[in-house]
Amino acid sequence: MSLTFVGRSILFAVLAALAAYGGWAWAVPLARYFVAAQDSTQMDLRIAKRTLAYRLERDVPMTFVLSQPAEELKVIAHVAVTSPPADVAGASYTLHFALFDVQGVQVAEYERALVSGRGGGYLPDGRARRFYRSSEAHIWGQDQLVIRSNVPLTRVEVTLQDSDPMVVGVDARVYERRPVSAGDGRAVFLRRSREERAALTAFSPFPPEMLSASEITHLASNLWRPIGPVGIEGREYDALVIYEADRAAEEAES
Amino acid sequence: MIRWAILWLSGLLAGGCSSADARDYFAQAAPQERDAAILGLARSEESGSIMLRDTRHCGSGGEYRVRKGTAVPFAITAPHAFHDRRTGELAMRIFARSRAAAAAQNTVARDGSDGCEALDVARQGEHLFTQFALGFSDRFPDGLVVQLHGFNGAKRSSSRAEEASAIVSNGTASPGPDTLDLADCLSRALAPRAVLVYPTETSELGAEDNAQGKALREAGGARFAHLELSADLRGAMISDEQLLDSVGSCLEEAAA
Repeated sequence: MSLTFVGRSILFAVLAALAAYGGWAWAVPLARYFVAAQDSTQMDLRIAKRTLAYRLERDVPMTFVLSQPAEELKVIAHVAVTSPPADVAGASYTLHFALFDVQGVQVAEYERALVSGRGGGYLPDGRARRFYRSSEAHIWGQDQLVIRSNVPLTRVEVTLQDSDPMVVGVDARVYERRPVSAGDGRAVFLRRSREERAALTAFSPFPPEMLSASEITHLASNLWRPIGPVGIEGREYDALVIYEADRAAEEAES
Repeated sequence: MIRWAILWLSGLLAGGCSSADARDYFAQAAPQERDAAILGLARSEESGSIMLRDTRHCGSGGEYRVRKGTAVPFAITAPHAFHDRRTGELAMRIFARSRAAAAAQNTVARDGSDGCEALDVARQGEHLFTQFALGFSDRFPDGLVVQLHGFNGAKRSSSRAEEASAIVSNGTASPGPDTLDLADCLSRALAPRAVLVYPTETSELGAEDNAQGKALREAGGARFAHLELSADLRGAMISDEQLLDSVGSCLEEAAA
């Protein structure tokens, strides 16, 4: 049995209509599925935290201004590495710090040669692994520096001076002390998450509930908060989002 | 309730209007005058956009704007423009300064503080606000409906949420790549302010019961983004146009 021209035309029209309907109904969900599948490596991880870091440009100072004069600040830095040789245990880099007082006068400068250890991107305590969602580069161990000064500081300039060839970038974060008024210490401490309270009291053999009021107030005064660089993101500096995947959850799923 | 009965009756008398009619109306690139009246909305045109608004005293139908001509497929909305202070103003300013295809805000307070009957449109699945979102989704199936909300940090139960400037959610317990991309862009734009993702970074303000978010998921069309903004950030966005534009750029990027 063969179809007439009219029959073939009708069949073709029906098939075309079905295909058009299928495309209309499924094109968007399918496109989303493929986009999600491409990102599945990261999505399968248990994301615990996102942190912002600032990519240092070699020999170009990045300026951070404190919200109020302070005698102490903290810098956390790490390297981003691509295609590292198998036998390399760490990547070295050198940072320069220039400190300025309330009058804008430079009061000190330091140069520190650092080594970010190869650790699979895990934090020093091993609880979480860090990675970029937007880059294939690996994050190696982070370094922490606490800078203290005899005079109140208002500004710090951080400059990347040197790094190993396999290092594609060095990211830095700068923190200042979180201002806590005398009466707020307990409330500030108790409103931290269980994990944060545990980290703050890690030195003590007793649980946080057994700490005295003065100890809690002292702990609250040790909290830090991040400060950002001067300028406009994308023009004066580049910011990157660092993801942390919970290690226990990762191991439980694997 | 009484207002809705009157609105439904007036719509019926004017020629009949169902939720499907309202949805179809909002799916149009250029909503027409006659049909606006059926929905109880007054239509006007201003530079490059069509405005539809329930202009009656205590009219709860909402306010909607549709850009004429080329636009980026995202709608910027504020369902609690009165209660979540400045979110309505922010939504309209982002609409004016970006290439957003549409905008919407409520016209009566959710708590009755304006002397009108209280109505929370973010919990009304049959309200014009929801039909607007669905109509937008029909017009832009791969678009993005953004809701701006405001939160009071002092009322949050965790310090992380208390200290956050923004909390991003897609209205579900599973933030997809789109939500993370938007959160990352906002983190960079708002640095060093903290931008959190629900529920991975905070268990608060995820909007899983949001009526428009639910309706969009059931329709399977446009995506939904729920942005909670702190009072400080709302103030900063009002006074700093560069910051406002940065947020608008992130929304355009998320919708593209």
